[in-house]
Amino acid sequence: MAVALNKPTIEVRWHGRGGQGTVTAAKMLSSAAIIRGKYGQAMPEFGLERSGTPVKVSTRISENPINTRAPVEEPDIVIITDPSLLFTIKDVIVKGTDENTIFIVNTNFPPEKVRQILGIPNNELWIVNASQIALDEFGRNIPNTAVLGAVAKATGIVDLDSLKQEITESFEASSKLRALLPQNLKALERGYNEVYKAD
Amino acid sequence: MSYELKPWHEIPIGSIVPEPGSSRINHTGSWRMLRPVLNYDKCTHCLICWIFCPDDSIPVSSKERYETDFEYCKGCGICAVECPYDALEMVPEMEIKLQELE
Amino acid sequence: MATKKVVALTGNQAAAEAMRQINFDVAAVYPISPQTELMGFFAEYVANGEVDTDMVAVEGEHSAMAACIGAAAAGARTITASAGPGIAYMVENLYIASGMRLPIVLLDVNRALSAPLSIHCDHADSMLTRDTSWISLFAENAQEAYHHILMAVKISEKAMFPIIVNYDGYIVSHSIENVELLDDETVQNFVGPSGIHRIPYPLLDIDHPVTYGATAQPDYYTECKYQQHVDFLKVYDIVREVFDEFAEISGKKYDFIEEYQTEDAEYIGISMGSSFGTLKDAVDKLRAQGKKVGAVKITLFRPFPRKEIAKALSKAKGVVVLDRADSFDGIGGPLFKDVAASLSDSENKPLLHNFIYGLGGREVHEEEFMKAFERVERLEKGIDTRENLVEYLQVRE
Repeated sequence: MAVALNKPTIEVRWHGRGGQGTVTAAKMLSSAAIIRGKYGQAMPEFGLERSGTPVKVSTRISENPINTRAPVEEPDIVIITDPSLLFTIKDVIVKGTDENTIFIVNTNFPPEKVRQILGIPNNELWIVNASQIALDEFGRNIPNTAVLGAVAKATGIVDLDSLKQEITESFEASSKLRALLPQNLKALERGYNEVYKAD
Repeated sequence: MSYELKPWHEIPIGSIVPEPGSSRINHTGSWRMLRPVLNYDKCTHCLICWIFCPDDSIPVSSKERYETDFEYCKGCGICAVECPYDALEMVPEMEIKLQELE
Repeated sequence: MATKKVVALTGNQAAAEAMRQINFDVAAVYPISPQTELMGFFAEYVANGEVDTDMVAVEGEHSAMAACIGAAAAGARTITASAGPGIAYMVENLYIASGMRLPIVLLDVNRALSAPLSIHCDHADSMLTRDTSWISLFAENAQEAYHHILMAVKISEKAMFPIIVNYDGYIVSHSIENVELLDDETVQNFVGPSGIHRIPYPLLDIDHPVTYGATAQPDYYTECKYQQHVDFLKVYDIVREVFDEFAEISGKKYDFIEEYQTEDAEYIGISMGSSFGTLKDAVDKLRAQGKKVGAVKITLFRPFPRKEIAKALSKAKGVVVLDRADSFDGIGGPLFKDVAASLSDSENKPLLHNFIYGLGGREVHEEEFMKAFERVERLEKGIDTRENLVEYLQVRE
């Protein structure tokens, strides 16, 4: 097991853009952990919640009850749901990380480019083209379910079945989203199968 | 955001913003996911894009429009929709960034 | 014991779930962030016919409370919610609700007050209500918000005083966490049936006409207020009673205050709301360094648990009082003055120092609380001196 994951509380920081479902994905990740009897927390940082604005979310998954309400400052896992953020808020993304931090990036970039831009030559890095999966499956760049599949595969902090259960429950509860459930379950599985660990 | 955070004693009394045009420090171009790419051959400088741009991101001088100001263009695409000559195409920002990188 | 299930919910979702399970009569509301989402969830229950509640859309928070007063006077079980400036706009009617001794539940999704405008969390809005003779509970997380709302209905109806349930805007209202829910039947049995029989003088009982909101001349006003004063002191026992009853169905025993590592603590931090978890983590970190520190959370804010606070601080050398709102009065924040007054009869007089933190949604970290403990220890040992009793914890110099 990676050093970053060998501890009772795993801290995750998400970087995405408003309108791409990053907050929802972070909530689903904690929910999936809670389904499995763990403790979960997802705290969005609310700024300008407008389409396209950078969004940051803190997630904790723990074997024990979670007390702190502080945002995650030294993440074990960093998830980037929108690749253009690599250019605009690179410093924010790498803040508080070290050589053990695991990065999961939604991009069609080759991994060496991601390493170069973020300045993370040796970190564990997982790449998934979640935007393409989302466009293939339901024609919109909402990569969150595909990213969740990738997170399950890359880290094992939640399992695929609990994510399926969580996505099914939350999509079925919404009259707007219900029709999109099969496509999102497909995106989740594709994210799981298509994410790869960079050299 | 890239502006400097002032210490408490440098904030004007009453939390007022004492200068006009203060939204200049908010570089909304970082929100852009689609970029309006201008085809100069098709553009007639009718300036309809300039009228419609909600972010005042289209510079005009001597009745001609110039390249969009990408520091502020949010990529909303209104200009491309309104252009009567199809002179603007919305291109994913990432494709352009990737080309620039190479 | 009731059946329980653990689910992942935000504070607003948990609060809406409590409201659905109570299935009360009237909700008169006006939207304001971060409460809007809560009433959105609840409006969906109303629209889907999952509850029997009449939802009254009004033109502002002042009217929302006015409609609640009318509904409650008629005997309807009534719940509303607001935040920040919405609470400010309600204040006149808050006094009327409590003066008329009406059981109403108000959820305050805590938000800062303008200017400058902020939609984010602090406790300034709730501090507007502290002298209104409303009972007031502060929830630390979504679980407590859910529990407090269920208990609030019962406390309010037993005491014949309105009650506020506070939970922090965004930090609790919009964050996901584990929440253990009770089943609908258990909740229904706990809150009991609604109806005009609960009100001594139902407004719509046309066989026994009454006047609400009459004038009191100087020959009456003092006696009216003294009766309110005496009855408000009885709230302590009623709250304790309901806390006990609730423990039987939920397994969770609430108290006026919650103590953490205070047994042998020399220095104790006091806070309300979501920051208490962070404060506990700060205590753990300082304990790991060998510091004898502890923490106290205020759950019941009004009436103030002065005896419990005095007891909890009876051996402390120094106290870190954490206020999420400033009073701007040259003394300190509202909680600081309450804690100080609570020690009036104590033999032990610990050094009290006040810290203002978390204003307008400023993020709170353990390290900042650890710094506050260090400051109080230095003051207590005479290493540091102070000019004021209050200082800001997170200000950019």
